[in-house]
Amino acid sequence: MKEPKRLIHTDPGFARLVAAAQDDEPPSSQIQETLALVMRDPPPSRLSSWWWTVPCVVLVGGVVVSSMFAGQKADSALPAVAPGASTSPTMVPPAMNTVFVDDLAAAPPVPQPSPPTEPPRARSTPERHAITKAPMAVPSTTAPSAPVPSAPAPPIAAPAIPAPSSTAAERPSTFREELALVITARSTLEEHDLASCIRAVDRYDARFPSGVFAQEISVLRIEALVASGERARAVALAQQFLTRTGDSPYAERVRTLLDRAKDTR
Amino acid sequence: MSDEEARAERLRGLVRSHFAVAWKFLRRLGFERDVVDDATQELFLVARRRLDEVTPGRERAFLFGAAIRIATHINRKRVREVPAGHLRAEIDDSEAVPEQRLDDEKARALLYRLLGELDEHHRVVFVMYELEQMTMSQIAEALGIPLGTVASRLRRGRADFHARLERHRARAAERRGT
Repeated sequence: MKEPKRLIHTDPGFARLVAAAQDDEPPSSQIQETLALVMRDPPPSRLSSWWWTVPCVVLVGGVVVSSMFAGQKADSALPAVAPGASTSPTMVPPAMNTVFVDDLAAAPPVPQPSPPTEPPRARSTPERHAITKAPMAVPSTTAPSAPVPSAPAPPIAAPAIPAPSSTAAERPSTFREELALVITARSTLEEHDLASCIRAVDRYDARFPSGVFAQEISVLRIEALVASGERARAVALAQQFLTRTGDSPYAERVRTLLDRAKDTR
Repeated sequence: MSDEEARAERLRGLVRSHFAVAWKFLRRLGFERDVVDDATQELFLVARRRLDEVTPGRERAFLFGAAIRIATHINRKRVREVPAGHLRAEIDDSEAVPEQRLDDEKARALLYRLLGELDEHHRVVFVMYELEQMTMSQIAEALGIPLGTVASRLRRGRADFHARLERHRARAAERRGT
């Protein structure tokens, strides 16, 4: 069957509209949150805990729809949806930028009814996850595209870039702390608190040299180094990053940082 | 690498490489950004659950098909917010200007408004073909409908969209003449 010529090739006005829409992109934090959500370990069988079925907060497009006592599997609440494409209550936005490195060490475990493997920033309620398979390895995630601050920072001890990919050996119990450190690093970078940012990435690398957020931490470190004026080290780390993980989704970001570091040296 | 590790690696790659694509697709189907944020997360939870069914090289078709089902579900729950409705208030006749002269924000608003005015079935196919640059065969596969149905919906969607765009242009021309 012959396909018609696409409008963008025949109608410049339409092409203009489409080009404008190309810039309508997801916020950079979204991929990180989604990775954290989907890569986390699945919860145990929901049948074992009655309270898994109780509160179900739905927040969609600013419209909050609370459905208490859902009482059912998420999938079963969507009878009209095709198999496998089940939807579930929309997720509650996480509390951002509220975890600090120092707090992590002293903070007691967060009491919660959900399984202990749930990361702090996961946006969904437990009901939505119907997965009952064995725990999955938690690989690295996301795109911290925090703006590069300009404030100076104290000297930074930059360890080598860790291995970019995670392994199944990463125990689920580390996930929350890893994610919290990434959040801390990113938020402090955005606040131009470079010393705290570097402390967070140092701590991450020390504790999780093959962590699931290794790439994100590396990029954050490079950004912090650029922002703090340590161009030479930033360049070295950026080149190292590109050599090791040139196909990373963050490669373009790192190249930009590399160019910036070189330009201002 | 164990099967579990390989699966996790694949899932991670899927999210990283397709998140923005899926997000934009849902946006173009007519949802507000925050709805799209949540719907896209939901989409990748579906992908996690059905990862073994995703044929390598056909990830986009899988994700778009699942995205449409999620969109349908959202619509059924009546929490859908069509950008067109939101954007209609931003673009009125007094701002009707040729597409080329619109700034990006207004150009996006106009596009979403015109898309939002299409019949839902037509809009889906139109977006997949004209904006996502999918072939009709890929669309048929993603939606699970016959190729002839895709062609029919695309034809109607294009005609409807073209008529609406021309209407906009006529208003713009009229405004320029006044």
